Amino acid sequence: MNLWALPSTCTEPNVRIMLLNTNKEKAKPVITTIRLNQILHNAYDLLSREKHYINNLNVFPVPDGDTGLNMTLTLQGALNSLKSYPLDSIDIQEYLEHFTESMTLNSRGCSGVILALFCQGISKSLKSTDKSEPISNHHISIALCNGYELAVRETNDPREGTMLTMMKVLAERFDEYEKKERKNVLIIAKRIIPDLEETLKQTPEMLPVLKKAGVVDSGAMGFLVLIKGIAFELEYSESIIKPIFTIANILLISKYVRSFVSGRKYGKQNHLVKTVLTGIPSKNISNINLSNIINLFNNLLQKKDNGKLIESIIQKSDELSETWNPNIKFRYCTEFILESVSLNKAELRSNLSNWGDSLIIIHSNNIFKIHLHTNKPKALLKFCEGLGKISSTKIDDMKKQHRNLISEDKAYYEKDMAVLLIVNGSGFADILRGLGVTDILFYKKIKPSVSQIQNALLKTRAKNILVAADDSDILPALKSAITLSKSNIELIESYNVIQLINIMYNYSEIQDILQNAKMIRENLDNIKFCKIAKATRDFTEENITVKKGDFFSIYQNRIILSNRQKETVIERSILKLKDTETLITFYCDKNGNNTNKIVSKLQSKFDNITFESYYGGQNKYDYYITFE
Amino acid sequence: MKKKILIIAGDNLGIANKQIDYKDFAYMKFPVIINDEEFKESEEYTAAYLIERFKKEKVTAHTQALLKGDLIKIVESAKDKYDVIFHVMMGSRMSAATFQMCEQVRKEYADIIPIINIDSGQVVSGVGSVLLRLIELFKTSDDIASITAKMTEITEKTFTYLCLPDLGFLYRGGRIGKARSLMGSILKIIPVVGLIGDETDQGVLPIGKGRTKQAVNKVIIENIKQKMQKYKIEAIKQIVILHMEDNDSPELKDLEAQINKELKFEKLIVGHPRFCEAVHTGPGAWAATFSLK
Repeated sequence: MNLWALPSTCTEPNVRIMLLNTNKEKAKPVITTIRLNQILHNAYDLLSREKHYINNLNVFPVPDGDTGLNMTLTLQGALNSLKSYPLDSIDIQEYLEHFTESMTLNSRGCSGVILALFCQGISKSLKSTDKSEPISNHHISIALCNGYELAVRETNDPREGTMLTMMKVLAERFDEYEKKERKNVLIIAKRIIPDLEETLKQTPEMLPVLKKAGVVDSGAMGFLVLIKGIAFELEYSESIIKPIFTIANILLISKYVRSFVSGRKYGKQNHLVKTVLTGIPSKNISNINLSNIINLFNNLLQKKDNGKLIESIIQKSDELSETWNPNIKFRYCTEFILESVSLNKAELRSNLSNWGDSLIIIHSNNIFKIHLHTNKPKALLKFCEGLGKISSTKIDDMKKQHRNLISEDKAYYEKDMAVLLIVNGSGFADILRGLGVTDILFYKKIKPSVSQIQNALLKTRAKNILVAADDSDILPALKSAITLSKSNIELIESYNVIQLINIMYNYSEIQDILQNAKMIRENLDNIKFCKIAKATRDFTEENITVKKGDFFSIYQNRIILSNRQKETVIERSILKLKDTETLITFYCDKNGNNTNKIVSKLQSKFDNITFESYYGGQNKYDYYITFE
Repeated sequence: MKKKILIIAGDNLGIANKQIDYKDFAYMKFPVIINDEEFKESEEYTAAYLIERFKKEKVTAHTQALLKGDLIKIVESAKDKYDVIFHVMMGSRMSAATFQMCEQVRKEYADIIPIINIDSGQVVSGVGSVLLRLIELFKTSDDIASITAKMTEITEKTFTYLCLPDLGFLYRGGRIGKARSLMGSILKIIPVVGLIGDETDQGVLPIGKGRTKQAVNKVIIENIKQKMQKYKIEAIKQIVILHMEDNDSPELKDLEAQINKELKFEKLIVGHPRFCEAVHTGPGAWAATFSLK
């Protein structure tokens, strides 16, 4: 029996699709493009709100806890790209075509890519519509079937109990209801929701790994949320979020029950542990398996020495633990766009299938969107560079994401990439923010601890973080914090604030984290600069004697000159260091009140150079002076 | 027999009409709204006129989509005289309304005269550059299919970089796209944005930033060098550069000097700023378009 088979209507050959009622005489568009855009925005809002709940269900194919985020970012990218389109002058087919194309380009993770395939099938189906007539429900029905079929056909090893099953039920029920009731498409969609909810409940029975993990499928849940958003099933003020324990809590409770029934004695705490375990309100347990374990445990407490019950609790607890802690065979979720006029999909599939698993390819014109789990993402990208033009690369470390999912201090990802810079000086912090830094860890005199850096990394809520500090002394703490972080981190080993500014000159949000890190490392030392400080003791270095209270200039970690007068040190430093540069910038500390005077004097002496000054607020040096 | 081909474009070309060496050329003017009053390019209403008003009166300005009536007028008068019409358009992401309108007209006239809409994916000198490359192709062939295919390759290998001292103009004109990330700096920076033919995102993209005019010119040179390396290009086919206020400005001279020093190329054209372009660039901007293949 073909599990993936659909009603025969869906396979009607070459049906020309028109929109709306089958009663052509009274036909009027059910949905305008503007309305469709509103509907999709509503679905996006709902999905975005529920994403963390969906993330917590993510156990299949890999428990990396990002299904909700991936679906949200996929939809967000597609809707953002449509902002520049004149919605009042394009028809639904054109809207869907642009929407689907953007969705393909922005799709992330298995769930995002399968969703993009589903939409591509719908769009292709509706594209052939006779535009002089409105779209009928019948044609929407066929489009849903085509969307489902494309999603199944292009997914490697499609499984029942996932988002694909939900798509099938949606297509089947829509077909059934539109024949029976000639109603508005949204009313039909609303009618299907109970069927989808029932199917969602059944997903653990269809996919054993879900049952063992005690959850429904995350992608299927995400799909239900989307359909609810589309059908305006929920007002924005309502929520489908149920009280839920984190995965870490679920595993911990299960572990406690297991050790309790295995005979572990908790001494004086024995009674307390029992009270806590039996006192967990069942409404707070959304994990089906844990709920069963607790029920069995309560039964056991009433029927002492029941060996079978104990065995059953231990078995379920072990299953729960194993399912949430699998051996991740292929570590990196890798995605990219490949453009090629000569490649065909079958050839590409055969070229890529040996690199890992979960391969999904979406093909549109000369563009291939590729999703693959592999252990060699960089080698894979290099290989694919030989096949065509690569862009929009994204590599997620699923082991790190999994560690995050099951940890007690779970990070709730909101975005793909962030830049975290650790900096002294409030002026510099503002300057860096203005240059596009998303996150700043600002410190005054005391350098940040491992735990402060770890918190700052967590606060970025990003899967990928580019991180750097303005002092090499911070590097050891930074490296320790990185080992504790669950995000994928690229460390730029910088050691001064001017390099941080340079990082932001070279950072581009359209590049992925690896491309950015490469470009930044290549150009890290491109800005020439010196530092001016006041001596707090007498010393001699590089044959230059500096007396307490003198000012001295440091260039490339060496003292180049000193003098009693600050202005003299500055002017001589400029004369010594300037080459063909045309802009000299002063970043002063909090005592730099007279900087403007110094700058205007210098401006009159150096005609061909522009001088600018900014407040840096740094502790150590009176000035950083850059030459650009 | 040689085919009779008409080329149509808007007036956002980054080159002057006199630089277009093709007699069968018609162009439409984008409506420019300045303080709620409509203007179109003329001898009086030029880029210099608008920039002057930006500086002195702080006026607000925006552009509107091309008018369908203007296009139909051209197509109507051309349909019996020509075998085919090529319409070189600005990037569809930059003015989706114009693109949709042109597509509608193409479909409406499908049985009367073939219209080939070329989505240049570009603005300013990028559109002009694609237009000049098309004219060059007509000199060697009139095979429509091969010209169309070649044009796809040309647009994919066309890269425009704009140095915009004030991104506010791009923002107010609704074209900022991802380049928004370059806004709001405390440091005086010159942002470089680009329309990059081989990017899947055909909007305005943030390319880089620098504090000096030489530095941003270097950003452009380094970017195009990377593209040349990527496509194994020895010499660039055509470069168009222009300044919105003064083609003799030090920054454009510096860019020209860096190009001459660092890049191999076949042709360098100094373009001409157009009225509607000044709306989105504002004063002090300069641009360079590289057509690699």
